[in-house]
Amino acid sequence: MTDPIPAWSDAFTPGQLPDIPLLDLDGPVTWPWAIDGSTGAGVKVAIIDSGIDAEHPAVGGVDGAVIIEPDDDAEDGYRVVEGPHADLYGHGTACAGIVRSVAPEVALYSVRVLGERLTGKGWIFAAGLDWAITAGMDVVNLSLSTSSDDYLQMFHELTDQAAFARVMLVSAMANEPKTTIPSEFSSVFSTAAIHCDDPLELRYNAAGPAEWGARGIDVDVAWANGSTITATGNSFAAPHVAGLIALLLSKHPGLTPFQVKTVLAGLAAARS
Amino acid sequence: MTAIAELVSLLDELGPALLSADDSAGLMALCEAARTATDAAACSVSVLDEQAGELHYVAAAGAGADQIVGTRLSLGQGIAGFVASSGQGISVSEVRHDPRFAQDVALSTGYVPTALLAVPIRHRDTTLGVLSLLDAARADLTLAAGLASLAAHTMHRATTTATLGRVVAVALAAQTGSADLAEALRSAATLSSGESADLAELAALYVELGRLGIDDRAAATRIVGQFTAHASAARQRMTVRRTRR
Repeated sequence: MTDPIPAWSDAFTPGQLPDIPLLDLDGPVTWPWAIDGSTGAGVKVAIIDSGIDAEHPAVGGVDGAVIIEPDDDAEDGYRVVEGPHADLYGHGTACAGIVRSVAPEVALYSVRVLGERLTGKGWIFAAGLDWAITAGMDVVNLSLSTSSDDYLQMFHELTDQAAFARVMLVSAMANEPKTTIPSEFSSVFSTAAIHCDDPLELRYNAAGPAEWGARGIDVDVAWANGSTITATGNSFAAPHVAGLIALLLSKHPGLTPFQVKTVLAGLAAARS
Repeated sequence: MTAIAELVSLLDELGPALLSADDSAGLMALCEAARTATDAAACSVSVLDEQAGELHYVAAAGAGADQIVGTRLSLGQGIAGFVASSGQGISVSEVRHDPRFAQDVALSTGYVPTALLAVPIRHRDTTLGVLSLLDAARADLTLAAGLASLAAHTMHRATTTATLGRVVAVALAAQTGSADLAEALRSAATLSSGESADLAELAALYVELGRLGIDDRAAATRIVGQFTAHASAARQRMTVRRTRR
């Protein structure tokens, strides 16, 4: 009779471990190695926000769209409505336009969680994230957050699930210093805005909780009704990072979140 | 309706009405100070009315101020609506042909700004409203958030004072020792809403407890004491964890 082994130990039995790509580098990470020739093709990017105006010239269409809305009759308290929808505010369209400008051939998916009904938006947001992970998105842009501790556990579980499923969550810090869930979790790519003109500018702050600095101040962004505005916010740094990650994953599929973070830190160092 | 319940209900209606004059004067002064400090064309404060799904502009200073105060705008669209719905601030330095924006902010005021800075007014985890600065020469999101926190104190104080009036009425009622009191208070509590309803209901429970024997009262006090200690310790642990990073 063999000795019992501790739980989880069997995951490391030879032949059981999942494959991961190797970073076939000859030296430090370079921009050409990471993204040269990449258009983002084959990468699915979800924008969890106010919806996306698919007709906006800066967006160039979406590959899928769902609305997550409260439903008292549903078992989980919400329903998922598939099909084209409008952007109620303009903010989701702004984020989608930025991702498209960085990674022109990604497949964009709109997950609308901000609706006319304000109640329970924290868990509706969580339900949207759950949808994106389950639907097999590669990158999820979260230019929204909750500051309510009530949702700590819920988002903790979802972000862990995403990290192990190799779903990159790019999460904007709030624009003022306050609790920002899930942005302040270490497993996500938390972003804050920096002043620069280059959409691929990237800075790495190992001390967190805002880990990645990217363009987000005075950015021309797509908005509601086919319009354009010049806006500032950490919200607009996130889609720049999401687009960059999409370029990387298109060229180097299957990377895990810690591999992506390693490459991004190398790219940030290569710029400075 | 008993006389007590009538009194509670009356205070419920009167409280906010009596206070609003003072508080809107405070918010008006805040808008004027914010406008001057940031060299903005205008500053406004709107209160979130979640039930109606609207932002209600209660104070403003500068261009279009007289027109915007009293206006109610739908939350369902626009930049201020986004800020209220998401709890995220946004700064727009140039508004190019966005008809929706113009409709939201500028149409009724006669002043169409180039730049808009809008931040949520929050107290703890709740968004109470939105503070907007139009064409501010010296302001960023962090400064605006600081101004919003001042507005949050005034707005929260208004609600708390109104609640306090109700709780005092409930406590006074408890002193009379009327037999129908707990029932009357409970119906008064159901008439109220949110935080104040909880407090009124708690007061009603205390009235009932007061009628029990000394042992039951002591047991109830121990249970409440333990719960309070546990709840505040849990909150403290959370705070420690948050500030440690």
